[in-house]
Amino acid sequence: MRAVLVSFRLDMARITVSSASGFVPFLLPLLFAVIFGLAGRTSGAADFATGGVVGSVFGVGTILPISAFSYEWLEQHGRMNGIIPADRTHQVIGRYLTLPVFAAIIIAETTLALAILHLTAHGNLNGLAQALTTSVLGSTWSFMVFELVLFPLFYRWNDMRKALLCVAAFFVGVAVLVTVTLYLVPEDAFNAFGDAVAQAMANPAVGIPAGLGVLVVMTAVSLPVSIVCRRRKEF
Amino acid sequence: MTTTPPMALSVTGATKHYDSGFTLEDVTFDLPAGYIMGLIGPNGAGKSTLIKLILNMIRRDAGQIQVLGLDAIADEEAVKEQLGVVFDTSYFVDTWSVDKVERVMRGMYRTWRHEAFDGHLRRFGLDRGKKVKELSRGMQMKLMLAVALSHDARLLILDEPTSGLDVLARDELMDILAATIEDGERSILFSTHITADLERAADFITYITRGELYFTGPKDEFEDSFRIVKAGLDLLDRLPAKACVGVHHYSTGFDALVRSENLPIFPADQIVVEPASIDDIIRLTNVGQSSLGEV
Repeated sequence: MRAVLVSFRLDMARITVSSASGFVPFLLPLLFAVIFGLAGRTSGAADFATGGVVGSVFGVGTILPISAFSYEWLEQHGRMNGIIPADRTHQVIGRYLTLPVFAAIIIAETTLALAILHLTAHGNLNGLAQALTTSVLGSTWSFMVFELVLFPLFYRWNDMRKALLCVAAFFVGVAVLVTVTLYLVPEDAFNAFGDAVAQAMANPAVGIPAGLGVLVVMTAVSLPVSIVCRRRKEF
Repeated sequence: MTTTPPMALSVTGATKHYDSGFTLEDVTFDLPAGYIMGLIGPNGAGKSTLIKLILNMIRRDAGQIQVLGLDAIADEEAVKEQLGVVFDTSYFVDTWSVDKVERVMRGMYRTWRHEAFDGHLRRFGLDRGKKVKELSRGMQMKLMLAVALSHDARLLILDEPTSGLDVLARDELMDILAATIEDGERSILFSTHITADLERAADFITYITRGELYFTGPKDEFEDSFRIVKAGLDLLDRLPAKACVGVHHYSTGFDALVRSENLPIFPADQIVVEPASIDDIIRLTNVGQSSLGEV
């Protein structure tokens, strides 16, 4: 367990880079919240503003855990993996531990950013609970799914370009699957199914256990694949 | 009754094949606790490959490696707790400050001693506020050394730490290393191609060339095993084929590296015999080899 925490701490140090500038990315969504809030006040486009704020938090939260890989791919720094008292399996598990941390950060920051947005746009917090219910669960779940797909790809290839090509291929695959499904299933039925799922997932009583179930299954696949890839790696 | 001294490092039959064709073949040596071993060889001989195998940074194809009595792979966590490593260039993130390096590294080792690290920073003139990228190569090496010495590492592994350092910095490093093993508890494996460093500090030599172990043992035995023979070219043609390990021809004569036990083959009145330095041995056992970069 200690070796996993050693790896986790190293990855967090890689991600935050230095004590002061490490916090800058977290401030950006709050700045966006103010900008979108001001824009929403004049145009009345509240939905757009909420989407923008949630999207910016999602973007920052998604990129930061990946930055641990890019530091590791630096030729000189990658050798640190061969020095720390942790084997390759510990190192992978340690990196996966950064995901719940960033999920918690995304929840906290989305809450804060939407509160700032509401205060800036409307001068009060009315409707904040509703906005949080519909956005936080979905974005956190999407973040976890996205990272669980991405991590094995990044462990497989020591090259950001190849890994990103795989990510693109993944999304193209999903798009093809959706297109084929749309072709085979009537659009109304498809939309009704999509709305029902979205509505159910927005209900914490359904969304949380269902989301956790999917994440458990995905982790059960993603983590072992990452460990196998990492164990084959040479630093 | 004799007792076997405890081994800091025991490498048995270590083998690594690369797709490029380079092979480190069946390397075996022991480093007893409390000594400094110089790992020498020309560029591309396999020194760094061997160090990466010891650190389990690359997978070995055959062999066994024990560090402080523990298996380097099965007991990797416990082994790494007791290892201090210095590379030729810094392995820290460039934008970390020296202070952040300590904050990161102290969480890694149970035996981290803040006072010791602080003392090494003062001794080496390292400023906590400076970023790694702002440090010179010599200072980066000292930072890695400060880390290695601050968690009671019992085996230090240094991979070409003196490359790029001036003579004063190299001299200072040698003093530090000599002081480090004084208590007999610590050992050092020191890879270098600057053999002057070893003349002063090393107790043992392991010499690798073209991926194969050429010699391992006490340094004095290594130097005593060879002699340089100088003579005119006419003598060369009359020598048995395997009398010389390596020969360097001049227009007027030759220098030959000769195993000490083969000296009686040579006519004493026609040759000049000189002691062989480590550089001579490396140079003349690799005649015709070019420096193609480290593998």
